[in-house]
Amino acid sequence: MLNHILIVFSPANLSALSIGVIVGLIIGALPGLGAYVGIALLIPLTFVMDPTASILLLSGLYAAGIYGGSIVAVLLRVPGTSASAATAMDGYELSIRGKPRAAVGMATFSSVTGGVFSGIILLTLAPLLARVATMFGPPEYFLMAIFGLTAIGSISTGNILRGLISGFAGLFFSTIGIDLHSGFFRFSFGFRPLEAGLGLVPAMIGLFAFSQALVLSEDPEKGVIPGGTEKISWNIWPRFGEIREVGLVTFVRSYLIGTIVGILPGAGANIAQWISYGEAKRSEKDDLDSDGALLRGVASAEAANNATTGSSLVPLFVFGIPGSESAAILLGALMIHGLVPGMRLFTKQADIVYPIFWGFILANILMAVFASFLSRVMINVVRVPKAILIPCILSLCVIGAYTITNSMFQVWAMTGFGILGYLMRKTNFVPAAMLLGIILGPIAEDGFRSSLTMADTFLLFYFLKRPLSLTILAMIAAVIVFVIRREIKRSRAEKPTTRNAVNTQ
Amino acid sequence: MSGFELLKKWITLDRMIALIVIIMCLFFYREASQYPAGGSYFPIFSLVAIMLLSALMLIFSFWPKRRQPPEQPENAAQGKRKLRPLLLTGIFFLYLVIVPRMGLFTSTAALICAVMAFLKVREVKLYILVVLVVSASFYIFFGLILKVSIPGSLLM
Repeated sequence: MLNHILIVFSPANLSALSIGVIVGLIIGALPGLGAYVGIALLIPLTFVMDPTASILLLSGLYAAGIYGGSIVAVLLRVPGTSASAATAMDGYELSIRGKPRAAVGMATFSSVTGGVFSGIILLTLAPLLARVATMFGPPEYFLMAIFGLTAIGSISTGNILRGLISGFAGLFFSTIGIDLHSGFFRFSFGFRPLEAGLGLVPAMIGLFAFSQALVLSEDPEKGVIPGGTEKISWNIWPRFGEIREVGLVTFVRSYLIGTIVGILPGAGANIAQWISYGEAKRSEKDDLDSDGALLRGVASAEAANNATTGSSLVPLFVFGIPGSESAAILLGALMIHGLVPGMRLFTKQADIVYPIFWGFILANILMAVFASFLSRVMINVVRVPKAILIPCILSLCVIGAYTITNSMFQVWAMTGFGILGYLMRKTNFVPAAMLLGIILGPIAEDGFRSSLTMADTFLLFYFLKRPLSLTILAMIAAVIVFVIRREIKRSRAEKPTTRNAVNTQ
Repeated sequence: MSGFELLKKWITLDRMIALIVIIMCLFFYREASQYPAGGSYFPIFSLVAIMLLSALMLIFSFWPKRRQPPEQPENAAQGKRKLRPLLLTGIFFLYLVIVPRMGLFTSTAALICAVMAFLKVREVKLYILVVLVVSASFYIFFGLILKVSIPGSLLM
């Protein structure tokens, strides 16, 4: 264990982690850019780094990206990321009451402790669950891929058909290029650059970063914050009395909500903050408008959204199923660096994966240290006009896509994915599900083909005969039933309003 | 109601997407079915799944929907908003064409200026600042520190 901790503190790894945290804080503060855009843009930078430093950089960015949005949410009521929206409500109210230090302090304390809590869960739960993964055969790997696509494609958007179409389209894209079993070129149509397949990096950069630049260009003036006089000192920690006022129950409940929601594929920080915030308001004994209640609101939202970061990595490292959009891109980074999720990661590559987990815990502490110095920069960074951000993102997209194979074809492929990603966002399809399909495609295909060879009967009957496959099939069915029930409930809840609207006409 | 109006009413976004996806899948299905056995199984599985899901999307589009608020006619500002990503993509395509000829640094500087002008940035100082900062960061990070290959030519 000590050896793993010492690896994190090597100069190269500590620098990578620190850079990741600083970039995460700044990107998190920028409205319209999430941690996922940062991860997608920074992946090409990690090609020349060793796997531990690379993943430390990206996971530091992931952890700090969620918190980065909080300070500007509290001081300017501008949630840098959607995961800070609940914080903006109560935090800003405290700020205009003359208590910005208390609000920022509580956001910092809750984020750090929530992130550390989820890091400990990652460190303890992932190796235990990995033992389950050793029982997996090809059919289970195939079905886990389908489960991941179903979950991330439907839970996050509620539109199961669009989510699944996105995921299966990703699986199809993964088949383009040479078939490693037969040596046959698939869907290349004699076009040589396509014979190597569509790269993972152009897909990641295009679907998330390039498409985001197009989205930002729709309203370049929107969200630009005029200059102000918000002041904050370097001390961004709360007083002990304020922590006591929030209470242990609020903290623990928020950590648990964040952890559980984070483990569920497709849910993520955005959903966790609202569940936790709602729960804090529901159980509030004081006046909802009191300072204590507002402080508890900030604490509940921030503790929960940061508690999702580590727990969303548990299914990622164990089964290759990401818990959020950012985790889906991190999965791509793992694959690029030859780290395949599963038990092997915890045995043969323990010297890489455990330092990553310890580094993740350290990242959550570092983010508060750096935020002390960067908080003023972060407030000013929010004011960078989108007209400047957009060309910077586009330029980074180009160089990121080009560096993989030194060919302009990958840049064109990135542009294609970018346009596709933009159109998908506009029509409620799910880019994260498509990316997951591209990442899991090779594993799913291996599992599918081996299952076909092993099956002595119709494939579905073969799956039903295997207890683990049956369990995963039940999980897929449960997700589908859950989403359909939620949709029915939602439409029932909307009907009376419609009727009222008709009656009043 | 004329035939054109009837067609316009029938073709909703969901139906159009579903039909386009199904047609594309049929094309790729035909291609995949010519591959040697084994290599064709998984692409066919994915394509059939997409077609079935798109067919379901098409069927559901005929089901009566919850009452939606009447659509507001598009104003000029909204039209402009929709057009901006399209024009930005156009500028980006031009950039991709000139990169191999002019080199990354020159063409990226041109892209930055073109995009900023397109998004109506007025201050010349900002143009110079952004071009200098981006070019210098690219050169230092990618060229000197990471030593990655950069598309270049005489003009760099």
